[in-house]
Amino acid sequence: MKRIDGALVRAMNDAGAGIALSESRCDELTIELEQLRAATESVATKVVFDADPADFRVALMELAKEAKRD
Amino acid sequence: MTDWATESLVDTAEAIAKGRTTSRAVTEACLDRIGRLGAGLGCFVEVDGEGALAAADAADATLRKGGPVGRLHGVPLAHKDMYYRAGRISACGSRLRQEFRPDYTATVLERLDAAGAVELGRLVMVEFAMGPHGYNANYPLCRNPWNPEHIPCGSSSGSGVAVGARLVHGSLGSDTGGSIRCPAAVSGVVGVLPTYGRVSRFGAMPMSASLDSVGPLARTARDCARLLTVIAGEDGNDATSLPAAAPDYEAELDKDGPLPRIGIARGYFDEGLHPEVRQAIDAAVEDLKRAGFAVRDVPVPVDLMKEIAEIQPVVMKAEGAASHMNDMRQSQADYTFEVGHRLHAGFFVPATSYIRALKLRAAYLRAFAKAVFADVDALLTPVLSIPVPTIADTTGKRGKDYLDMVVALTRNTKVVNYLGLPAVSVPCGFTGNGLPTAFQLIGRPLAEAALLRVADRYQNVTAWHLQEPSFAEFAVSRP
Repeated sequence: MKRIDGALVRAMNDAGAGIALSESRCDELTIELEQLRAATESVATKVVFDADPADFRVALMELAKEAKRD
Repeated sequence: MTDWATESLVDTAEAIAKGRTTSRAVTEACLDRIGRLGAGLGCFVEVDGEGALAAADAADATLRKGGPVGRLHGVPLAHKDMYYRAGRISACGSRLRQEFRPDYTATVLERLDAAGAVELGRLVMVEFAMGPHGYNANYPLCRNPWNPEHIPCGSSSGSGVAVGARLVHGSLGSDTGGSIRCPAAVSGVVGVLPTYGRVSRFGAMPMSASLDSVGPLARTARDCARLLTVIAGEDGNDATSLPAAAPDYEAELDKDGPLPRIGIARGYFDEGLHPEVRQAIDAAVEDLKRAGFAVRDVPVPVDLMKEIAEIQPVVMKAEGAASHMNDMRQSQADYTFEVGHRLHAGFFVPATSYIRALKLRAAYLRAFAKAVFADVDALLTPVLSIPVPTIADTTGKRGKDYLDMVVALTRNTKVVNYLGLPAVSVPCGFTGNGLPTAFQLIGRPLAEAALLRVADRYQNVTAWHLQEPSFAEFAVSRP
């Protein structure tokens, strides 16, 4: 996958966010966005097709009940 | 003569209820202290002395008439400037909301009102709660009460400072990645991150809806237990509110029964630990054994924790950016550089990455609980891995090293928000620079009572929470 660089950040900003973007901020964003992308890519294979974001609430309540039983 | 500003919240509330002092006397003591120290500490946005004294007089009048007395009757509090009260400004640390007056009141404020609390004013916070160091370019520097050259941590910086400096008896903060626990830790007070959904967020400024929790900071675990008892519980106005009755956390402290079992985190949380912090944590473990707790090492799934630490910001930044997109487009100049920068990254998080991070959450929570809570009820970790940094170390810097340092501040706390678990920050000593350090207890969902029980018993055998800042250096450095 292509590494995120300043030109890509500027193109994404112009096409989507539409927010003023200074050179220094653009430089820092390349570092941060690369980190965020790497983070999500590293866990991509762990995402289960049938999982639902709302399962989290179910898990919280189930684990709370288990804790009470212990 | 008792200086009521320096007494604990519970002792003060009991003294008011039993007529040993009055709410006016306590409120005046706090206002006097705020008058002497508040401006230099930079922790108040606004002090409402007149309103507070009127409320105190009303509380005293109710008592004289034998009226109902709540758990916080006549006790002065102040909160992070992001809890809405109908008709009153909630600036949320920003220039954009300097005149923002909501037309409804936060559930937590309504519950504190019903318990009889007196509100002294609004406390400084990081702009829109987006930042861990604790100061805000929109206000004079908010300074650590133990040493004004060091950071107060954030984003509930004013809350930690006001409670640590004994200006108020307790405060509400909010925590998305450590914003209750870190300010509590560096100011030498207790901070509680409740289970996600345990305390209503209705009427609290959103930073990241999937990660935000509202919780108290106070001088002792018992103080926090009382505050949590008042504010916790289901709220039909908050869709994320959990359908579970909240116990009386203060009463739970004194219940008989087996003590919670404590695990010392081995792996991830102790990586890169500064020797002085390690020494304080080791001493705390010995104190906990002395207090009667069974303590054992617990290996933490390091790879899992590292993944969580990396994907928590994906959720936080995407949700933050979604809230701020219109204002960033129209009024970017009204955001400070640093917060504008933090938000900017969120605009480029693909929706698929954000949703994948949320889809993983239940599985990661189950995996963490299975690995950690098989044989223990609470996991003990450091809050900050390093001694509290200086303001100079964290100001006006750029680049990867700076980003890494900022990330390190919340390394041990933000993972807990992603997991939605409760945690309590407890002061456990001082590092060589004279600043407080603290441990964190992480529990299973809705196990706040167990964590507070550990913290309370720890404070029964130690005296770190009784130490007060001297303010001597503070006076010299006052701007």
